[in-house]
Amino acid sequence: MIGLPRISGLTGIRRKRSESVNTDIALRCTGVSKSFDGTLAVDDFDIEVKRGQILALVGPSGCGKTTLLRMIAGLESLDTGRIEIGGEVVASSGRHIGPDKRSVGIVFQDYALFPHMTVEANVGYGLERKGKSERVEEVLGLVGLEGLGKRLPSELSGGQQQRVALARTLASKPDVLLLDEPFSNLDAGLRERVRSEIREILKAAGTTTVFVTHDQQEALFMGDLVGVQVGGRIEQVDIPERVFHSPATNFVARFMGVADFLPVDPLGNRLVTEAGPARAAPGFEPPESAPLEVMARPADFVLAPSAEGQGVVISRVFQGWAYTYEVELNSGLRIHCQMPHLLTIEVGQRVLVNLRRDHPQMFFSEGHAVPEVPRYGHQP
Amino acid sequence: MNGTRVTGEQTPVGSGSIRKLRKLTPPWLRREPLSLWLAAITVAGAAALPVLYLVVRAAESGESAVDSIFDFDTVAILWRSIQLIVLVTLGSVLIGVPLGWLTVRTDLPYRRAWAVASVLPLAIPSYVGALAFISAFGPKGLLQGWLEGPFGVERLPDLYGLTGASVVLILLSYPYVFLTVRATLWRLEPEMEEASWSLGRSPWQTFRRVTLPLLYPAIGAGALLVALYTLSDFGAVALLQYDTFTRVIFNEYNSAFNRAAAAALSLVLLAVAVSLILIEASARRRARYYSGANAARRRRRIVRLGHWRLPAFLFSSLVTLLALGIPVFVLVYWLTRGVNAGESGLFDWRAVYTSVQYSVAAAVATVIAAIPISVLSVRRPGLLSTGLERFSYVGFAMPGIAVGLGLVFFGIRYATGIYQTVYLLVFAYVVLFLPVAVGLIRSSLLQVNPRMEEAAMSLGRSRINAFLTVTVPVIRPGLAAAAIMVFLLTMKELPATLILGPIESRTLATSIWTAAEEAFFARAAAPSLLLVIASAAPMTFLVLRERSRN
Amino acid sequence: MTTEISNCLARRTILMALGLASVLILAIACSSDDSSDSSENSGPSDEGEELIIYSGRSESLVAPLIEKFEAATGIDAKLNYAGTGALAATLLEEGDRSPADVFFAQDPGGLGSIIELVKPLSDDVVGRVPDWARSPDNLWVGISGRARTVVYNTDALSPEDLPETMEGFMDPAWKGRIGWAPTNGSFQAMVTGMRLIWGEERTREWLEGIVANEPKVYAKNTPTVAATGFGEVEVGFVNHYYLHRFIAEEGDGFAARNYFLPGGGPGSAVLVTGAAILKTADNDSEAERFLEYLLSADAQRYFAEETYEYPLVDGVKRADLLPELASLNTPDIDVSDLGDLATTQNLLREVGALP
Repeated sequence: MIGLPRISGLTGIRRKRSESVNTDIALRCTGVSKSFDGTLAVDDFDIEVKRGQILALVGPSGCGKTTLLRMIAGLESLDTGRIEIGGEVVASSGRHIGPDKRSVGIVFQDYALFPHMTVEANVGYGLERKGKSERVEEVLGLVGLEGLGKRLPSELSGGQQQRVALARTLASKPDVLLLDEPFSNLDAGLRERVRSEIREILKAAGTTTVFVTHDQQEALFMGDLVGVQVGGRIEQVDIPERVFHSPATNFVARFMGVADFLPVDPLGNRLVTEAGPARAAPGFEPPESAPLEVMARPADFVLAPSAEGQGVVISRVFQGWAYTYEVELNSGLRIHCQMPHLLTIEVGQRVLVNLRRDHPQMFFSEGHAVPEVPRYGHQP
Repeated sequence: MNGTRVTGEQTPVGSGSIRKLRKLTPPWLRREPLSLWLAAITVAGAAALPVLYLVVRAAESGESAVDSIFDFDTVAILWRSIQLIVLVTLGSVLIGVPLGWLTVRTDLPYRRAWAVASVLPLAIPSYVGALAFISAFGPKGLLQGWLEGPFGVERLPDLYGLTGASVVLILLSYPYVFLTVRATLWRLEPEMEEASWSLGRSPWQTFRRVTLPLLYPAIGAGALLVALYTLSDFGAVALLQYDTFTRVIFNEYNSAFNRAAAAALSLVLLAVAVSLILIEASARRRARYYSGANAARRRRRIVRLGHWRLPAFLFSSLVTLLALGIPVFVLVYWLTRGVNAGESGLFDWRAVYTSVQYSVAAAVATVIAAIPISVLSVRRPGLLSTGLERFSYVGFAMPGIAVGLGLVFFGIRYATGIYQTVYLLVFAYVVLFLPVAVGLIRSSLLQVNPRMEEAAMSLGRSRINAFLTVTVPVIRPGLAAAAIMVFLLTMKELPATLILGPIESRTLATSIWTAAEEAFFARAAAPSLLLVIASAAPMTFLVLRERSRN
Repeated sequence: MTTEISNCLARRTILMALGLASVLILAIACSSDDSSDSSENSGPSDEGEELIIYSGRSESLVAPLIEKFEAATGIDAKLNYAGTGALAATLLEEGDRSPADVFFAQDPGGLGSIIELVKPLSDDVVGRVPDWARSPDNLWVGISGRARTVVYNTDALSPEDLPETMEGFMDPAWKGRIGWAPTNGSFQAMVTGMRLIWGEERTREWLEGIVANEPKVYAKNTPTVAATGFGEVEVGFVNHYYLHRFIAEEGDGFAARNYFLPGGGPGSAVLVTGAAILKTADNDSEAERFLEYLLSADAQRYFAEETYEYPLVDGVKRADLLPELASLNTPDIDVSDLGDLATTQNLLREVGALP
């Protein structure tokens, strides 16, 4: 259980923790809470991230994601709860190990590269002198910036700067790597390419990563696990597919993609909605007295122009291979429907709206999924 | 946005909409208007008048002026000046940087009070400060008198010469470095230090390897002011018996009545000043990587001093005690002695009124004059604009008497209407203190993203409107700081005021001088104290404002 | 930003700028008003033109005298106070456009430097002072006298310990005990006198002798006297009247007194303050009246009693504390000859007394 000492004498540089020590769980947060001036920024946060996994934390701005990250890094202290990194308790109500003594790396939103140092100096900043240049070269190669070592950060493009920031943290092989909205400064076109590159680098390095974003597409793409956070609380943590297809709450559903909720009237054993019957999974039990809704994504509807249809197209967005229509139903409810571009429906046309019945839908009651979806799902 | 600047248009960083906006603005909008250039050149030209005067005077006596330079064993005296400059600059940095850091970044108790107290020594004219120190620490001074009794101290260490002059000047001019360092510390991105920290470096290492290098430009700017001030100081070095170059110049004016030689020597002094300016400029150029970034709104990290609290506290106390406490104490001592001896009419309120008037006028005029040069040097960095900015520094290095005489020369010939009026005097103040204003406004402007103005213009605002509505609110603190600094410096200015001041006008500085000349210490103490108090109010305001803004 | 907000901001900033501008204008206007008022105490009558005087003598000494002058003559006097050197330089720069009428200088050197700019005075005026105390061409007239003296610390020394002449201080026994102010005009005037009386060689020897005794260097007379009184040095070469200033301020307990060399010589030279009328003066009669006033019994008494200087006019008694002028063994030199300091300064530089 006793690994190498964490601090190397006066230099304060961490030594890499021996692999043989402890656990498979690189990061564990238990009941972590923090308030600022009376407002709860992080509320009872629980998570476990295995070694090598990428956890994507997603949620609207200001929901405490960055605070959480800073707590893991050691830049903020927590009020209650416990944070363990590599099995060692680094933070609890009575204990707070500073960032210089944790094996955590953090890449800030604007990279925070040291403008007065070259790329090499930046990347090697946290390393001991022995073996530094080899490691720097190695890591620069890992991020694809070989040969740029002598440049200054001001001479690099945004994407390159980000990779330097990444390399800088990877160099000392931290137990956990934290990324704070890493792609929000990039142009849309660049973003996708950079995302996949970064993911490759992270996987190649085998680093456990927690990264924070407000873009759900990004979270779904990058994460092995996706955590949806709002108001400091985790709504759901699970693999991307489940978070998208089996959201635990209305909020998660809406956040992860366009989602419409239609009231369902359980008549006998049929679930009737304004868009026709909805198909449920076998063994579905509607709740006794609570109102029921069905969640439908745009791909779950079918439109057909019809003079007797129960909806009118009020807007249409061209997306290349498909149109997304916004349709107002007779009840006043608005839904979104995505249809291949081969069929073009004009705005103002009356349409017949039907729910697809080729797969079971998700049902919700009072904001929660029915049947209940576990908040903390795990990998299969 | 990024904390580091991305070069050019290669790979634009930033949201697409701003880029779109930029492409929409026609090229002519991006150029600064001609009127701004004209204004800047005019101001710089005004600053050049005294230099022109010196050249004319030195030239008219031709060879004899050059001879007189070499008469004086110039090199040896210059060396003395340089020694003093090096020591004072070093000392000011050694005091100003830690104090600045302590009052901004740590949990030192009563930080605001320390900040105000640390800045106040600027309000003390150097000759008053020197007099006070001699009075306190001189071989038979106050302190020695008290210590003799109980402790049998016969002689305190000698205050005269290089050591004494350095110590006194350090204590009176470290606030320049203090202020520039503080201003930058407020603006530094905390993320960089946090990044260093999370990479495993201790707070001390972080300071040494990240914070300090990022402070170099600010330290350079402050150090330049200290160096130029030391170069041109006469009052303190005369009293402390250390012969510097300015002493020689003053002798030429006051004893030899030889203006030509004095002018020639002043030009040599100017040459030294120019080299100092160039040194700082090249250091600044190498540090171009640091373009002022918009610091995050996040709460600043406060370093807990822990058991370093006591040493820090002692350090701050010692500095304040020496730099502020001793002079004020001595002044109060003289004053009470005078009052007890029945002297009356010690408080000259008219002088206060006049001083404040002149200083306010100087502050407003200098800030206005400084804006064109600052804007151009930030927005259109190029040979001309940087040249203008550098050139404006010469006024600070010239002996006040040279500036005064230069303006007499031009004033009496070309501006007789305003000769010996407040207008010409304010003009002199502008020439003298322009660089201080330019420096402060420049660093403020570096915070402003020029795209904001361009965005405003694309939205239909005229250039002036855009400047007023978008830029000015952001740089208001810098403008205020510049105004207050010039106010302070004008309050204690002496030689130019004596020469150019309207006849019959009296300022606090001239009252002090008059009284001290004839050893009327009580009569010198009263206006000195009034000067410190009158300067303290705006300084306090400046410091407190800065704090609340952050 | 909506149009309303931005317009509002623009308006506010413009208003602020206008406000500042008006403060500026007001400030300047008020101060020019102020400066056009004469001093608050006197109420000069409307008759009498302005008389503009550049005074190298400090305000604290001269102002009371001016008040009396204005009261007595009804002439409105405007004073420009600054250092004699600075004023001389200013006058030279101003040239024939100078607004000044009269120049009142601390020492003959200052007058000498602007000698091109003055007009001759009437015999009536210059006749009031002894021949040695005025310019030979009637270009300026001495107003009050100051004797060179040796101030000594009474705690450490008594008059018996002091040498008879200046040369006595060359003795190595005086090492480290002397204070002097080689940059001071009066000192340089004294050395000029030495050159005239002793000749270059002997003067040089004397200077080298003193320099060898490692004297403490002060900027002017005042700090030298202060230092002597506080015991920092034991003797100092100064003008006589500063001591009395200190005694008045510090009390009789001030531990210094003047020592007038019994042996006389250039160390006992009497220097004068002086005044001249400039060519640019537009009201000669007023100017002359001013000079006459300075040489009147009233003013001379003032110099004697208030500033402890030597009156130059017959019939006015010196202050009791001062020894008789005649007893001072003053050397026989014309004060006007003491005006040329340039050569003296070169000499001082050569021996290392000046930087």
